[in-house]
Amino acid sequence: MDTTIDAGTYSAVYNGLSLAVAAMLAGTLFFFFSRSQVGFKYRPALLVSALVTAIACYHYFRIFNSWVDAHQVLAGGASYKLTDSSFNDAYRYMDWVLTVPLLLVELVAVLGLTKIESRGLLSKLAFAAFLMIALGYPGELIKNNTGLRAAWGFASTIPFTYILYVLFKQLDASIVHQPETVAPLIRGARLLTLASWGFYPLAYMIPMIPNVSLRSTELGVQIGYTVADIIAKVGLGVFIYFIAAAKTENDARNGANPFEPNFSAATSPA
Amino acid sequence: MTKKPITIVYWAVIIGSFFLANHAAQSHWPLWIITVAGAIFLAAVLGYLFTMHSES
Repeated sequence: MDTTIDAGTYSAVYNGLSLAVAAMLAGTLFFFFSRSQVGFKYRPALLVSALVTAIACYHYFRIFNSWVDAHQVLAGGASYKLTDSSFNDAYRYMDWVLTVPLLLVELVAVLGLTKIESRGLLSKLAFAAFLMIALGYPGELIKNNTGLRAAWGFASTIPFTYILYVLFKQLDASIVHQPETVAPLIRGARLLTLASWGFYPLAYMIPMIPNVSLRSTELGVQIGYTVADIIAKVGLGVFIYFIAAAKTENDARNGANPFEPNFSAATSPA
Repeated sequence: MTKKPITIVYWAVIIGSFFLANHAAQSHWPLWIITVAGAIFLAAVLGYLFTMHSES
């Protein structure tokens, strides 16, 4: 097995992981401190957004350190060799198990639905997202058995299909009750979620392409997952902020004070 | 029961399960331990949101 990696590949992953740490940290600070600018009942959505990017920031920091520890520069600086410390990808799995269900939680939380509606949607979506990751990641660890990797990938697709169904069928019923200025933003956030999640299966399938070296595979998988994570977590969080701000503005226009803690109880439609 | 003790319990579970999952990942423990810790974490976050941000 080839244990060396060229400097370009090493640096590409190094810089990608470094960018992810910076993006997640910036996202965390922005979402956390933006809470006071939106109505009381939309603040949990921004809190969950901040929680997601904070968890991801921590894990990217660990993944970054693991990448650095797993490689040692060779004389001349043109290539790197693997050290005894193997690259630990389990942090990525742990990150997804915790954050991917929460991404759907923040999307539902910002809708400001009634308690019963939001509980039903949150439970279904969070459980399906958790199952999707728990079934998909075991395949991620299989590098040399394409059939088995594809089988785990297929199993993971079943809850993913269910999430698509819920987002496009059941969520539509909620979106029609949203104000005119907010509905397009929610549809945009939903599309961004689906588009960014589309990156993951593509990166997952890279090792299944024949005649691609293990190191090139590593590069494609790490960069692919990192880009998808930045879009899915920070990008969605920004959308959530815009939705929360638009809903707050709409509530205020309707004569309510959305910054009052008891606002949701007093003005909730159901 | 008031919300304050419930909040403390939820946050204790959230932080505890987070560190368990992290330690499992760091120590190359089997994936199922990370999965169980993740499930506990998620349940606690949802429980916290349902309890603390529901109409009362």
